[in-house]
Amino acid sequence: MRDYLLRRLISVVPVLFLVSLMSFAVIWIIPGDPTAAFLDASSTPEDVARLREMLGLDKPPLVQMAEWYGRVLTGDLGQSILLRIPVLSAILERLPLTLLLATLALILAVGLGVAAGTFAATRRGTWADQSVMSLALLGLSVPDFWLGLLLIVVFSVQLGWLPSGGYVPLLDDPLGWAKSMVLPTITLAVVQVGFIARMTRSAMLDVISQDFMRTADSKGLSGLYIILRHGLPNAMMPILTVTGIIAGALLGSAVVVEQVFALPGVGRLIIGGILSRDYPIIQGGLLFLTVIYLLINLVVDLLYATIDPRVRLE
Amino acid sequence: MSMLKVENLTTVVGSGVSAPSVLEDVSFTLDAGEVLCVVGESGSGKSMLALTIMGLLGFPVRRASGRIILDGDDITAGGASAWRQRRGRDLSMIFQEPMTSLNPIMRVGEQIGEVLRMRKGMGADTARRRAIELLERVEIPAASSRLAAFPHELSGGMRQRVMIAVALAAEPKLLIADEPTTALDVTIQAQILDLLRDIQAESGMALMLITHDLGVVAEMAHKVMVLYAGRVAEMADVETVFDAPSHPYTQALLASIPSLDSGGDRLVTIPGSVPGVGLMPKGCRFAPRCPHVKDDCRSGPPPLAMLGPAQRVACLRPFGYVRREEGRV
Repeated sequence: MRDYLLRRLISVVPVLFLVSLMSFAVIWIIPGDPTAAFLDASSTPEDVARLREMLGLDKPPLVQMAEWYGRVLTGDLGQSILLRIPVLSAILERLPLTLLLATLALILAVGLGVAAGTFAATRRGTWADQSVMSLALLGLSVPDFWLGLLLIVVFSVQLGWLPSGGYVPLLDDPLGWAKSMVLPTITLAVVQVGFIARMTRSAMLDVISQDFMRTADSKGLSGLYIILRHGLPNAMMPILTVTGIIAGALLGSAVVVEQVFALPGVGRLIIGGILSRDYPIIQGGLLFLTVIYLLINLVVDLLYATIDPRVRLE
Repeated sequence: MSMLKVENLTTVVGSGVSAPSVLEDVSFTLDAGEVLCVVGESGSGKSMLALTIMGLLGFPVRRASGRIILDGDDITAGGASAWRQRRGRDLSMIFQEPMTSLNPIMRVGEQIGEVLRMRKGMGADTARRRAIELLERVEIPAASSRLAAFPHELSGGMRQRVMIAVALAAEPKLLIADEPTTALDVTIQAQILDLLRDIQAESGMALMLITHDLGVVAEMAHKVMVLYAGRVAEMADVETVFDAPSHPYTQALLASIPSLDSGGDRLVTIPGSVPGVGLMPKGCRFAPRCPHVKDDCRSGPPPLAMLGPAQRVACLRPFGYVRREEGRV
């Protein structure tokens, strides 16, 4: 198990290297002069030169790259041009909210999706199966920004039950905090519930037809116990894979949902950075999200080995 | 009194009165301490018989009629949940594929232990001790350290021993073994069969052993039931089957055993194959392949008639007895 962990950790290194290279290259890939957005008609060539120097654009590309790696390794992601604070602290300040939102949505999506998929698989071919799967397809097909707006219209504007947006810190007002998280969480989770439900159903159908499920049945164990103790753990591998992918997708969708619900998370920070061409923010945000994504997949791989002892051998 | 009494069991695929049958009107009895071997080609309904008795048929296969009386109680009477209560306690089963019949991600100790805890109501410690005893009983070396093993860490023979331990955990009255050695290599086969026979003799349970290996039959059986295309072709005690096989199908099966003195001759086979489900001929189901077939064979199913004190045969001309040497059909 320790060897497995070590191998997985080592395999993360080259990916990180490439991703940080791409984050660095953003400044070259996006067309237009990076300085243009911050200057107006009154700017002098001296202003341009100062900004270029601040961004490090006056040096040769290779030197810039070396400097970039040097700074990334020491945890310095540069200075936001617009906010005038270090990128790292801008991100860290907003990260808890984004992570919280993604985690809540992930818990909801996995919980509901696995339950729905398992339910459908055990009732294969019945109207219950078909209804659950139709709902899952519907959930899968709804765009999140549209769903968010719809939920706001119904629950905030019409019924007035929940706030339409904005963030209430947990410690200030726990009830207000919970209320402010409900709609964003649901909006973020719905697509993924559908995805996980469909995945779980097909994984469970595979498992249900296996010989060892018949063995469990031949022991006279109860149907529910067989599904939960023998079926679901064996179906967990594909479900976990999807959960890892979804965790990444949730971080991406959070960008949209934070915008819809006016939540001050990393997503909004990055959108703001893109709109105002605040390159250090874009670079830092991109790198940060990727690192989180890699970490999630590392955790998923470790969970594989915990669930299935055969994985450790590979 | 017999431990297992099966009466007019019919199993069909699909619903409705015209649903094709995979087992038709199968009746037999099995006493405690007795070994019944069920033989027949692939597709003869052997496994279906096992699954029907266990109540493990999966949609769309279902028992259409007939009773299964275990130790005096009709286990078909109480419905699916009562049947489930019987499984793993009064009757249990060993499957053909030891490689896939155990849960790959559950320790073998737990796979035995869950029967003891959930079906026998044992506490965790008692169940653990009993699981070790069971592993020792099925002759697994270093039993206590094997409890923590996963199935993939065991060989095929070892896995089948674990399966036997699982099946024995609740001390069943009837054990059904569906080709338990087919997937194993020859030396292991003999060990597993010896083990099954010892345990059966020691516990006095009834054993229904499904096989297509007539060598196994000769070793293990008290009684033999020959199935063909879902119907009982012949039912007799083991000596009678080998000495005086009376159904042409039984004769053909025996004739197709390769023997050492047959030299370089071609192996004897039965021409044709078992008709598919729903494609059964109207009369005797073996008629299309039978060397002794006459017109009346095709008019209706032959009754399973008493031929001697320990022999019943479903053939209109059971006396068309052919000795082994002439049995090349």
